[in-house]
Amino acid sequence: MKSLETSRALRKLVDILDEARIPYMVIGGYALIAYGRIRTTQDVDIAIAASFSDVVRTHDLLKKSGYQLPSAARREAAFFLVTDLENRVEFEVWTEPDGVVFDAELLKRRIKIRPFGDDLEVFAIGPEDFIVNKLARRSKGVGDEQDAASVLKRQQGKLDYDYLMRRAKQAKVVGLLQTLMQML
Amino acid sequence: MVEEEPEVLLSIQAVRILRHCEENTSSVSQILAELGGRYEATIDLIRELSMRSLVQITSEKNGVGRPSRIIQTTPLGKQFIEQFDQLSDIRLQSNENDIKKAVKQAEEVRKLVELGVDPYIRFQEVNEIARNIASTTQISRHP
Repeated sequence: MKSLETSRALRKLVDILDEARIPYMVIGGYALIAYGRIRTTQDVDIAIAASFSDVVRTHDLLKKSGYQLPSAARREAAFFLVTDLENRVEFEVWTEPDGVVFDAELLKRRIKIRPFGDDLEVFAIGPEDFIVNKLARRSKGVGDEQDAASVLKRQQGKLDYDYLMRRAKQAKVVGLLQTLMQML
Repeated sequence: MVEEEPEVLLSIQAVRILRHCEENTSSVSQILAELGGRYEATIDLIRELSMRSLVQITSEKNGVGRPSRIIQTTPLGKQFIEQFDQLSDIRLQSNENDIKKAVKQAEEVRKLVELGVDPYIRFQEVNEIARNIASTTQISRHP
């Protein structure tokens, strides 16, 4: 069953990141389910708080652990692909997710999720930062806006709106956020 | 005579090229490797952007063979990106129905949670079905 393999692969990846002391969080479709709608997704997206030297170190660690990385670490790349060959699972590892500022506050606002219903518990991006990340995507499409809208709806009254607005300003998506909120 | 609004200026791919060449001077093959797309269409788009002074194309000789064409976003191109971003910040790509659909889906999940259903369990079920459909489709396409 694929979810079992994805769970195994994510556990392995998270263990490596934890050991290397690289803060991470699940973003994208797997995080969305915790506070928004349910939609299908095949890849697992992870963001890491890492300087370029940390990215190089992560590349080396992953390669040594048997992962396949199609390209060498590049300073200008916003993400890199990592394939767990054993479990046949692909990860998109983001070092610069759109609109996300990796600071202590963001890391503190991460939530814990159990995406496979087993004992695997991992960090996921907080709902406010998720909304901003979706609205700030460079290649943003209808699906991203729907994801953000679903979080705004399901978490209505529970979000930290001051924080959300502050992050939206930083990411220059206040206009989009306000338009979306008016449509709910 | 009314001048026709050039569609290229509204193309997302054109903006992606401008952004890419703002940060790195690139050859066409580098642009294609980074952004994807069809070769001919990308060449046409770059020509169009160059005609509108949004990118500058220069030749660079690297050893033997034909010199590579290097593309760089001009100051006017940078200004275009800024204006595009400002417009994008107020314009949603979704219509009212798209958002209504997402809101309805969110409400359904909220109800599930209230009933004590773990949304991740439901997600795994739905995802498994989608995966099976996708793999079946692949098999029938490539017998």
